[in-house]
Amino acid sequence: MNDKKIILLVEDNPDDVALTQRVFKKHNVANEIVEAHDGVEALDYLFGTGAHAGRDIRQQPQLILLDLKLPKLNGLDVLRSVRNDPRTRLLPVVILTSSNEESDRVNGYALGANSYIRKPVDFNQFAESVRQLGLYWLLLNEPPPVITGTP
Amino acid sequence: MPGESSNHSSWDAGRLGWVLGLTFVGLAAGIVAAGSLYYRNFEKRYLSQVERQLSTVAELKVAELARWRKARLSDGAFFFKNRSFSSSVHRFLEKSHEPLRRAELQDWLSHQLTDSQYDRILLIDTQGVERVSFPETPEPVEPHLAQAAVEALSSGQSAFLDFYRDAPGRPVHLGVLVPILGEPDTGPPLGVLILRIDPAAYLYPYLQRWPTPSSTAETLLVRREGDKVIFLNELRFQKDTALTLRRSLAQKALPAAQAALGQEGVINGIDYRGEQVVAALRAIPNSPWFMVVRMDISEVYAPLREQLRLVEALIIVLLLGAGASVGVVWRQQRVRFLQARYKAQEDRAKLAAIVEFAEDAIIGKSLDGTITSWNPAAERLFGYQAAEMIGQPVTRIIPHDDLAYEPEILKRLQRGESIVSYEGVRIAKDGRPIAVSLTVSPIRDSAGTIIGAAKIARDITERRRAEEALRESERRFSQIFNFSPVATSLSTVREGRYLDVNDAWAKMYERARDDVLGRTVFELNIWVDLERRAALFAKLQERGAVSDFEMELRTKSGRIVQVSWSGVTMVIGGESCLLGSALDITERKQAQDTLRTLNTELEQRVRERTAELEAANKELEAFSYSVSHDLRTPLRAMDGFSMALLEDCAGKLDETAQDHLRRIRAGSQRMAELIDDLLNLSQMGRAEMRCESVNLTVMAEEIGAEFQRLQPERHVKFVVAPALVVHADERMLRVVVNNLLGNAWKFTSRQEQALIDVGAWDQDGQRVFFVRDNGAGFDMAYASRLFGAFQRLHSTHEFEGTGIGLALVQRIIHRHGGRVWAEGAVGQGATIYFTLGKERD
Repeated sequence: MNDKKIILLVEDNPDDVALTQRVFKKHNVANEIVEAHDGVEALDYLFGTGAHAGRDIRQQPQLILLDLKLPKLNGLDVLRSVRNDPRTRLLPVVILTSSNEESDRVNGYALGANSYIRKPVDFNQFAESVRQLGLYWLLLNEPPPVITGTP
Repeated sequence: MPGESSNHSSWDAGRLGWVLGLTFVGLAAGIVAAGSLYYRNFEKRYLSQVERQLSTVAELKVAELARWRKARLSDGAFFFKNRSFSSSVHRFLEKSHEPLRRAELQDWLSHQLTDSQYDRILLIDTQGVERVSFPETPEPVEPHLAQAAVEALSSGQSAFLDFYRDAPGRPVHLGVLVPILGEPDTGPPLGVLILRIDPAAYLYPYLQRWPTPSSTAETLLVRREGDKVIFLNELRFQKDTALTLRRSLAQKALPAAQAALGQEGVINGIDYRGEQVVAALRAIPNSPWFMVVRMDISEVYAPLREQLRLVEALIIVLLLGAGASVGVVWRQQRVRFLQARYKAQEDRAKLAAIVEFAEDAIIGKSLDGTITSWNPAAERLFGYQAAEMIGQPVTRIIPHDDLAYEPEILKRLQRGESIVSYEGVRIAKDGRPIAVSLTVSPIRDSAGTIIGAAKIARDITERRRAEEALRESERRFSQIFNFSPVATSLSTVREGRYLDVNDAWAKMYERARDDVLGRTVFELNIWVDLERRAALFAKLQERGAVSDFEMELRTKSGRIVQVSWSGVTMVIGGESCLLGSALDITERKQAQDTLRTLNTELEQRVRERTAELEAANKELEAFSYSVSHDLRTPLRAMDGFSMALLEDCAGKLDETAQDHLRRIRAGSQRMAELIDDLLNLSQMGRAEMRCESVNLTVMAEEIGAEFQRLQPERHVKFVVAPALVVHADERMLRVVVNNLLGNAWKFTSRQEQALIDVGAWDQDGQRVFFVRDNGAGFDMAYASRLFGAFQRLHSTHEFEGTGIGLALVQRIIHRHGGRVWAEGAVGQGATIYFTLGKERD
């Protein structure tokens, strides 16, 4: 089921998307990267609604990279919905954001984020962060068992 | 008069004593007579009841004994001239050795044998020989029985053998003897059948039985033998009396003797024990026996004695009660009498004392005007001694002008009239005229005849003077009242009618005084709020006085005046009045109102400012958030894509182009640093403070060691004073120390022998900390710019940095309530000083 190791990248800025994609590619992260450009789209993908209606939601991403400042529905709201639904409750979520506000960090962890990474401006540092992220979450981390169906 | 009433009382008391004594004697006699009568009656009824009981018992027992004797004789009669039995006896006597014959005989007698009345049945033949005995016993036939049997044989008649005994100590028996005749009935007798009776089996127990429980009741059975009476049964109080106890018939008091002499009925006597007894006597018909049914007088009288004691106790209680009642009445009368006497004496003494010590002169005079008494006050007032005046005409003290009135006064007195408070003038011994108020009353004797007059003269010179003083005082008060600057009024409580108001009042209410007097508050329409008036009067009713009561009143022109009112209620000429003063506080009130309005406005302004400040703060937060997130994103794109160009197109770009790209990257990264510093500054200004005890020495040493670790090639001497402990937010303080040491580290980078010194001293009761270095220093002219954000005194070429460090330090120190300042000179190092507000310890 989980043979296709998908990364869900929730990011509205096309520059950041391109840079992230570039880093993954550079470091030979072969996973399929699904992009969502706002919070609503991310949830649609995860729960098979809206634009993603009919998607086999048993196929869930192995990692969600979540920006906080998003159009429509912000990152913390997305995280709350993910953690409140039994189907996605256990998915690893890494917050990847420009913000270094203390309140964002506190709220992110309080809502059950697995990591909080601040995007550095320096591309080298950024590349290193993303590389380590991919290494840790996709290769080292043992994913949680898959939960299917509704509660 | 008082003496007479006292005599009357004592006469009363004496007579009362007699009456009470006689009453008591009468009551006592009545009680005793009634008690004794009751007791006699009771005794009579009781004794007759006892006699009836004894007679009844006696009659019952006599009847039973007669029946018993008759039954015994009829038992004998059954066998007498009974041919069948005779032939059985005959057959037995012929062949007495045949058991069958004996059994036949036993059959005949079997009924009698089972009857417990008979203890032995015998058959004796004509020779007087015992032929058969049931039950069989070796006991020989008693001589008495044998003798009686012979007599029966000779008479040929059945006989009843009375109580007998063969010898002392032997049992007592009775018997029935039946001669058995041969055929035909007239033939010679064959023998005698003897039915021997044991009296102990039935007779004695029956005699001793008594129908009710009694300790002395007893039945005696006696018979007469010559001049003796013999007792036939066993007695209750003496053993072995049957047939052994005998008494002479001459003992008249002995009931048994009387019975044996044939007397019947109930008698009193002395019994065999010498005890007083009551006895019922009876003869048993067809027998030599007499019966005595007796009971001890002591037992008979026991309930009577009890009753007697009860009656006696009752009499004593009644006598005591009567005595006590009479005593109480006597005592009350006595107390009343003594009180009356005491009061009479006291009254007299008081009267005498009143006259003696009266302030007023009291003079007695007869109807012809002769002085009869003269009290000490009269001596003082007129200067004459009592001895001088008694017996003198009263006209000695009357001035000539007034003499004409005296006969008139005497005439009125004779008519029984009193002259009250007549004011006139009398002359003292020294000729001085005295103003007096006279009250003259007639004096009567006990018969009511007027015999003289008592004249009371009061010196009213003083009163006249006091009246004058009072008028003066009133004038003064009136002036005070009128010229008081406080509006004052006197009005009635009931109607609110003004009795007086002063000038200040008139001025305040804009009314002329004469328009107000006699009119009411309602007519003048003074009150604005009648409920307030009710509240005021409720308070006055409760306390009698009210002070500083605030209310509104209306002036003539309709202007409303705010007043603070104080006043009291008082009774003037029998009417409840209100004296009050009102202070005009309209202006004060207005000032208060203004002040209140100002305060309210101020508070409102503060609220508005606070809200504005809060909004600004929120805006600032949103701004920083936006800066934090949005401002960095394009920088990352600039840096990222420059990097991508450098990586992907390195071959196509010459060195200049590559240098430009590197400069773009450096610019982006520096801007990111500036943004981070700005955010840091803003965060430090907003973050919540958690103050605790922090060891500054340890913190400085740790940070210094960290710098040394990062740049091990530098030689820097750190000197940190020991035990610098402060009360501060640890995280913020770390930012301060990090920045200060960082600056010192940075600006000493050109020194061969760099020295960084951390310490503190006390100044004006405050701890001043410092960080000193021997680095590049600065020009004091720019000292004020040192702590501004992004202010730099050195170019980035000389020393790197954004210029935010000291601004951050200052913000944190200010948040701790402290101060920070710097001293230095170019090339001579710099010292940054700071305090942390008030030290906790």
